Amino acid sequence: MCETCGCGEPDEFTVRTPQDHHHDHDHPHDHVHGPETHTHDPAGSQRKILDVNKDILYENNLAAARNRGFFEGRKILCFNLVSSPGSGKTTLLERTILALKDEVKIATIEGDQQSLIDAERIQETGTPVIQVNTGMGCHLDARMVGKAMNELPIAEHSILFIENVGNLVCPALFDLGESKRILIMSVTEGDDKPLKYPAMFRSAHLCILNKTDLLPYVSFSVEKAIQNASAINPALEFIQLSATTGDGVDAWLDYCRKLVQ
Amino acid sequence: MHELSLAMSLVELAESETIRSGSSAIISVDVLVGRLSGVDPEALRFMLDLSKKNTLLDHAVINFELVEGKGKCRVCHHEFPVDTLAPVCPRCNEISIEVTGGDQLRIVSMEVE
Repeated sequence: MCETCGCGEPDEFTVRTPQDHHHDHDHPHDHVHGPETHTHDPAGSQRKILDVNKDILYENNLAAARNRGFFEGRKILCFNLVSSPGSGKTTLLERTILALKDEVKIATIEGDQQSLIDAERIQETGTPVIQVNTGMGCHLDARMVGKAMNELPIAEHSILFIENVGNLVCPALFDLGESKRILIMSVTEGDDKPLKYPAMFRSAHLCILNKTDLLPYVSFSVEKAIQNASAINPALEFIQLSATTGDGVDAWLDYCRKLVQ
Repeated sequence: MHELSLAMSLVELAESETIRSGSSAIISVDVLVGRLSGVDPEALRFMLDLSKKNTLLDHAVINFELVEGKGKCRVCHHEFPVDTLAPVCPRCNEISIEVTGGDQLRIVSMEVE
């Protein structure tokens, strides 16, 4: 339960840097608490029908649009990296940042339920990073990204990487305001993955097939995976690489470089 | 698990619309839940019952209208009902299907006072 206003909200998320072990518990929501907190005016009140016609994620979409406007205004290229846990997002990010950081300014928002582990890894690259811990939450949303952006020095003409919580289900629904959504799938996961998680594949722009160095040891068919993913989303682009050996990573770096211009 | 997030978003949206209209109580809310929206209506209902406590929605009636999914084959253009985001065309067995309906999740209208 929320300590500030006593409403039934789950644990609020935290935003901190890798050295920061003390954090403020903030409550950005303005919550109205039932009729007893309002003075009731019988003379003025009357029943009416409101024609709302709004997506339930209207507030998130608004926050995402604000983020998107901020990014576009400052020419910041924002990538939302999504995948199952363990697909190699952080390893790919480490390699990407080290390769590009002398060409372009880079900042990162890390998302996990708990711990600073991923933020600490990114910090080793010498670039700014913020860790968002969602607590019980299973995805990042636009509001969390907005809050994290307040703590992060993000330059104009730069790249912002957002590493989402490892989860192929929930993050699909939540627009963060990103320029591109990058779905990372590893060859150890099964080439039928796109058919099992169509909402996520539908929402992505680029699919990175990672851990190609393991292809000789698994029964994964690259052709079938691409075919399945393309059936769900014909506009999806593909890059095959190994974040550990570096094989194929240049194509991904060029993808980033082209978009930064 | 994201049904909780969605329930909270629904409560927030309903409250802000109510306040904007100058009203102070919600009598009922009509919600459109598409079969392909990625939401389980039962789970959403359950989470709503938790999330609406001590809010303007606490005593409101929340009506769900479930909308069936629709798809169109990208190869033979056959239109047919679908219940998954990865459907197969019943006419030509093609797996490249465009989802044309049933993925929405919205508050349609509310009765307030």
